[in-house]
This record gives sequence, structure tokens and C-alpha cells, in this order.
Amino acid sequence: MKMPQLEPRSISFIEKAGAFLRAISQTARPELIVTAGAVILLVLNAQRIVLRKAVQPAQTELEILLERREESTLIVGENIALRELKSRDISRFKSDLSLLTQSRRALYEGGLQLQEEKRLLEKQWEIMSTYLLIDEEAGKIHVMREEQSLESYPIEYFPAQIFGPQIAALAATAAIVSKERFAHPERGKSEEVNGQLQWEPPQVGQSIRSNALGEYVMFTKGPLILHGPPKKPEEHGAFAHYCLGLSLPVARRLYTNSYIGTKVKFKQAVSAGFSQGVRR
Amino acid sequence: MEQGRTSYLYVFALLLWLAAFAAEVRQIGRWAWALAKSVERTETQVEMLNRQARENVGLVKQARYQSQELEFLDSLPNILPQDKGYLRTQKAISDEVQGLRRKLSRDLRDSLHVIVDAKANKLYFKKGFKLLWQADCSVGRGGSLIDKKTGRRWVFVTPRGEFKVMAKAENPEWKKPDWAYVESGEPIPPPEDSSRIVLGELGPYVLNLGDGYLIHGTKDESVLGRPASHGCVRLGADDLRKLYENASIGTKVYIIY
Repeated sequence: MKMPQLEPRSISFIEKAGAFLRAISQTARPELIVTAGAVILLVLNAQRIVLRKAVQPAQTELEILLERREESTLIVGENIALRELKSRDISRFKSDLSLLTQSRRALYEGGLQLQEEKRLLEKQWEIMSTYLLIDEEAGKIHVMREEQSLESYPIEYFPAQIFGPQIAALAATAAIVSKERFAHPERGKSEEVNGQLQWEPPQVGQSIRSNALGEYVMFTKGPLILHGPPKKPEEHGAFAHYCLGLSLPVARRLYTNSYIGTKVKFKQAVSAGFSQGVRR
Repeated sequence: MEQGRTSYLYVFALLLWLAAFAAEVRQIGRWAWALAKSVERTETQVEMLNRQARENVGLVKQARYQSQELEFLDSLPNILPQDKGYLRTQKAISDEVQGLRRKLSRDLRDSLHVIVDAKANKLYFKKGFKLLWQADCSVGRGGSLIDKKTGRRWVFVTPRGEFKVMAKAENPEWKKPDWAYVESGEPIPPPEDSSRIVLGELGPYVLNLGDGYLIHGTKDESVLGRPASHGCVRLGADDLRKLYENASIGTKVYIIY
């Protein structure tokens, strides 16, 4: 075997290395060195195998994680889409709700207005269609609404009796123009005495008007006055008016159920056609 | 010579071993790097998964809140009537109103008129059936007053019925009636006494309905909408001016309860 030609420098290195190895081989046993070298290589090989085995499950785990993450990303994406849909639903619901509420409010307010108008028209109609009908033949006074008698009460004087001095004839129809719960006394008059006004306020007990008309007084445009029992019959006889002679309960009912403007009609006159055009 | 050959052999064996060693170390390094990379990626993925999980929890919470909000909003319209029966009733009332309008149309036509609702303390100004405007007012507060000296009694009620505007006036004087003195416990002066004349008490305008009843102003507008007067109808200054300007003499005034 022919040895390769080496540079003098390389030869000295190899020689030195060889000398070193030889020196070692003289102190260490070669078979032990070889064994140690082989063991080191085996250990490293074992380590490599262990590492390779460890990498495989880690990669498997990583792949599973990647799959999970993909699923999770999908779920998050779906949830975000759902949230946006729901947000859109809510905003649409809110705007629709606003319209719905406005429409229901209009409906509700319309209903209230309708009821308010109905109430006003009904009350107005009551006032305009109510009248008192005096049936002198039957001795009754009726509270009428259109052609319907709502209530009937007895009257004492039929025909209506004249009291006091000569007064104007009774008209076929007269409207109530004023009502007094308690008949007021006449207005007081003052007189000047020695440059000073002297005045005594009107006294109920001394007033012919109060004593004659009593309570629940309804004045008509004509001489007819509907009222409760007089306080003093003799003064009632002296007070100028036409009277029907109403009891206190009847006067109270008529006072309650009539209005300012309510017409008072005589049935005979109505039958005879006097009331043409006056029915309200 | 023999020594040189042995040296070559040792060196060769050593190089061979070193090569094998290097190869193993390289392999170990490659696998270790792969493992480290794998662990690093796993950690990244776990972190991202955690973040997504948190995001999902937040989304679920938001969904629950949105559901609650929808439930609440859905319950709101139930405050107002929505059943069909309500509409049927409204239709029936509407028919009745039409009937009443037909009955009243002969008398009202398109005339201007005033309605005072003494129960609701409201005044309506209408042209035919059309409501032009409405206002709060105050009518008679009820109750009575007795003058023990003379036995006279006054009832402070606004009477129901059909009135007409008999007269109108600006800056009216109020001639204090006897009851005003009885009410305040003052001595009653003679009817012609100049001390009875009070200015400004009735407001800037007055509409006379007859029989002592007026529509006038008030010094205390806070009580409008409640019964407070002695039988007259009180109005606020703006509404009184409107009424004074729009209602002519002869305009009908219906006072209802």
C-alpha cells in the first residue's frame, strides 16, 4: 500500500495527533475507548429516536388544534353574523315599533276624541231636545225629549192659575230664562238722607218675592213661573204670575232636569198647532 | 513506519467517529428544532383558541342581552289597546257620533258656537261640528253661602243650558255683588255705592251670558281646569282674547255637565 504524499506541515500534525493518540493508547485501553465511542453514538442515536417520537404526537396535537381553531373560527364567524343579524332586527324592530306606537297612539287618541265628541253632542242634544210639556187636561207636567216623555209629575193647578194683579196672557210656549235655587228677595233700594246714602239690605223673611216663590224657581220669558211651595201662601197670592202649583219634590225634579233655554209648552196649544216651528 | 501506519489508522477511526457523531448531533438538532417549532405553534394556536373562546363568550352574552332587549321591546306595544274589540267599539261610537251629528245638523249647521263642559272644566269653540280650539276654564265651585243677617242664600253653580252672548266689553268693571261682601265678612254697602266698582278683577274682556253669568278672565290662571268660580266661566288671558275676538254677539253658548 502506497501512502499518500503529504505536505510536511500536514505530516507533522498527523504525526503529532498520532503521537498523542498513541500516548493515550499507552495509558487507556483501546477497546475501552472504542466502546465508549460506540456508546456515545448509541446514546445519541437513542436520543434522536426519542426526539423523533416526541415530535410526532406534538405534530398530531398541533393538527388537531388547527382543526379545532378552524371550527372555532367558523363558530365565531357565525356568531358575529348572528349578532349583526340580531342588531339589524333590533334596529328594524325599533323603527317599526316607533311607527306602530305612533299608529296605536293615533288610534287611542282618535278613540278619545271620538268619545269626547260623542259626550259633547249627547249633552248638547239633551239640552236642545228637552222641553217641558204641560198637559192641563191630565193635570200633569212631562219632561219630554223629542216625542218621548221621560218623566211625568202631577200639577195642582190645571189650567195654570193666575195670581196677583192683572198680568199678560200666557203664551203657548215660553223658555226658561233664569233659575234660582232659593228665590232671592227684591233688590234693595237706597235713598239719600241728609246727603248720605241710607240702605237696608233685603231681608228674606220680609220679601214678597222670596216668600211667594220659595225654592227651586224657574222663570220663563212670560208670566209663567215654575216653583216649589211658597213660604207664605198669602204673599204668593199677591205676587203676579201664572202658577202650576208644584210640590217640593216635583219642583226639585224639574229644577234638576231642565236647563236655561228649555221650552215650556202647553199640550193643548201644541195640539192646536200653536207650536209650529218651535219644536227644537 | 509501523508507528506512522497506526497513527493514520487512529486518526481515520477518530474522523469516522466524529463524522458519525456529527451526523447524530445534526439529526438530534433537526428533531429538537422541529419539536420546539411544533410546541411554539401549538402555544400560538392555544392562545388563539383562548382568544376566540373569550370572543365567543362575549358574543353569547351579547346575544342574550339582545334577546332580552327584543323581549322588552315586544312587550311595549301591549301598553296600548290592540284587540279587535277596541276597534269594533270605536266603530260603534263613530256610528253613534254620525247619528248625533245628523240630528244636530238642523240646528247647528255651520254656526260658530261655544260649549262649556262644566264637569271637565273645558271650553270648546266650534264651527258646526268642527272643533276650532279648546281651552281650560273654571266653572262654579258649588256649595252655598248664607247671609245670617238677611237670610239670603246663594248657590255657586254654573247653570246648564243654552245661553247667548248678550254683550261684550273690554276692560270691564266689576260691580261687587252682595255675596262678595258676605263672603269676605265686610259690611254690605248700598247698591249705588261707588266702592262696589272694582277694576281689573274680570280681566281684559268680558262676555255677558245674561242672568248675571259672565265669561271673564282670572287673576289666578293656575286654578284653570278646576271648578273655582262663583258661577261664571273663567278663562286664561290668551283664550279669553281669542274668544272675545271670535265670538260675536248672539253666539250660542251651551253649558253642559
